[in-house]
Amino acid sequence: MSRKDDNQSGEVGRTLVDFMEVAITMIVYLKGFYPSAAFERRRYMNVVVQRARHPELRDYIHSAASGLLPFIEKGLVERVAVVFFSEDNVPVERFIFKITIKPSCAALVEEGQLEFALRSFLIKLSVSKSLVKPLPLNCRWEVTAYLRSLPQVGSSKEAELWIPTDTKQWQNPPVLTPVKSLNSEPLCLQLYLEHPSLSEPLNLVNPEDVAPHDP
Amino acid sequence: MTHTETLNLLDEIESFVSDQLQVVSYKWLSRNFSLSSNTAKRLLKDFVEKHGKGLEVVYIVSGLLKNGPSDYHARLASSTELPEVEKEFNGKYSVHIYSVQASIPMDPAAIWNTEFVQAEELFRQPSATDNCLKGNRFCGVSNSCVKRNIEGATENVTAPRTESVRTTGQSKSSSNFQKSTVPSNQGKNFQHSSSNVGHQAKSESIAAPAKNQSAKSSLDKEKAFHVPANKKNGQGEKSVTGTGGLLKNMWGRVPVKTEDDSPTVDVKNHITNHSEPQKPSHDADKKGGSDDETRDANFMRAPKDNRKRKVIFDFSDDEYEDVISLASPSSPKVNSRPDVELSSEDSGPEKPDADVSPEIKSEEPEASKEDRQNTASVDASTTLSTEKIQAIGSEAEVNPSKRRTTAVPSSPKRKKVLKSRIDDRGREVTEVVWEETETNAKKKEDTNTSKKLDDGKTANAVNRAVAQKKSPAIGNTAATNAGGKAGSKKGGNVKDPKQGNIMSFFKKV
Repeated sequence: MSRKDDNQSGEVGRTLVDFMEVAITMIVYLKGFYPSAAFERRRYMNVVVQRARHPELRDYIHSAASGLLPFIEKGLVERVAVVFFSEDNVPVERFIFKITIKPSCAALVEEGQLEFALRSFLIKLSVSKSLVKPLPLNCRWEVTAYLRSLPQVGSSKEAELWIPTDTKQWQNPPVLTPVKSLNSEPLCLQLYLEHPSLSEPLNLVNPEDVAPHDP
Repeated sequence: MTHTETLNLLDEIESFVSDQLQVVSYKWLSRNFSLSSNTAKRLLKDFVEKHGKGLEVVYIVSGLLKNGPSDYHARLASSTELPEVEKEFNGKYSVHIYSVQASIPMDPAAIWNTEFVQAEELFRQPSATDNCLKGNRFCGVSNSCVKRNIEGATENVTAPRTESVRTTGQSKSSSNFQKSTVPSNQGKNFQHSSSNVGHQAKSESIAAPAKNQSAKSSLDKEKAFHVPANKKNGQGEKSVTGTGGLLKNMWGRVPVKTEDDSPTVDVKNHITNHSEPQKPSHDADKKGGSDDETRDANFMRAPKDNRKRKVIFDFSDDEYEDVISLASPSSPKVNSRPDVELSSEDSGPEKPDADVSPEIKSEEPEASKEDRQNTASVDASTTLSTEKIQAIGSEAEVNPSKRRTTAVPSSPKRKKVLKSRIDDRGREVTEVVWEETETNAKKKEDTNTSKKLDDGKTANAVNRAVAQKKSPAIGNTAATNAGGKAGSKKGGNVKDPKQGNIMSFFKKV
């Protein structure tokens, strides 16, 4: 890969990471996990979005998203999930971002166009309340990244932020609800919802997943 | 709209709302399907009646509030809030459907997201594209006189770029464009104000003067330029030729010799003003924008017929007193003064400019220079005073060549009269008052000019010499400025044989 390509895919990665930070915040806001007063209205890519007002929440989301950057640049990240789970660590709802970056094609699309496409996700997210399920009491949430292969421990500082998750996984294939998908040259992105299928037994832990500390 | 079309649209709305979870507002709908806003609202109403189950509807309630200021309020309310909100309104109010969506967003502001995006997309379309955002054609307020002319717009985009609005044909097209796109109905003040814009344009024109323009084409241009102005006054299409003739008379008094770039800049600036949305990247936009602002200001302050100007010479020294008093119309020596004042109708709007517009500032050095010269000449010696008065007059006449913008159509029946008096603080107060009587100012002017031919030269020489060592005058800059401008028109109107000399005077300076 030439130096130029490197830069270009870095651009895409950074845009994507920024977008992920906003999108994760939007999801948490949408779920009503925290009171609405915990968020403030901001403008990102010229659309109305939310930002967490509490510094720790903001930092958590920010570090989770920016911690993904080295993995995204290496093309390791396959999916990023925002998982809401109940007290006994059983996921109730998962928002999945499925990411495919084609670094060789990075030069073909301008960044402005990419942002233009990405913001349609945010617009859709802001009105997706009808798609989501109400949360049970005492639930928690986390950001989980699914990697194509486990990174070497200590390969980078950011990687140390991420730890293996202990959230249980569903055994049956979940029910998918697509939200939005983008299919462009440097970046393919799908956002969909996963809900447990009706006949869901207790779950196992998938050791290949890593997740950052819960806030 | 036929029934089937309506049904198709309803289906499409359903897919937008249910499948894509989009907020469908009447505004978005009208822009997306090129409908009028009212049709769009009706469609939404039909849609809610047919498919409204499980969807959220946002209503817009507008009218006067029961308690609170007597302003017109428009309020958005969801269907559950609607009865409550309706209670707050007084008497007659209107309830329309604003938008339909699958769910009310957590943040109500998200309702506008799709509208933002749509507007952005429309705005980003190339300038030649005729879209509803630029045409604003689905607005509830319409004016049959205002039409959009796409071809005119594109021609105009090229005109300022080449910086030569040389041919009459081109300026015609620009005027076409103006009358078709400019929605302003500024009334009769427009002509005065537009000449004002000319002033500003002039001061800006340092960047792009078109010096070698022939007087004839410039006259043509001015005609072409002012026809739309009249149209905007609501006189209608039929009056074009008549108005043109009238304007020709008015413009006919404009000096042929000194006419160089002002009309060009005039036209150009207007083009940039009005084609602004079409070509946001053009660098003339900044000019256009600021011009717009100042023109607005001019409109607001545009002079009425019964204008009254106050010129205050605030000299601290008594020694100036005699000279200034000579400026009163009673003095036979100052015959030229009324002429000067007569023409100062165009400087009437100038003074407010000095307050509001930043552009006018570029003229102020000139003004202070004049000021200096005036007072300098006053200072020189008392014996020279008659000559000096002439000099002031002739200087005033020089100015037209510099800032002659002034192509203001003046009513021949009107005359400006200069009245000066000493106020209680011992200052000379010169008031310029409009009088509706016909005067023979022209004749005076003619006789005067011959005199000035002689006096002007010598006085100028004296002035220059003195001016160089004199400190800036204490006088009111704006006043002198106005006075200088006042002369401008007159100087232009008389085809003064002295003009050449004056020009050379300024060249030397």
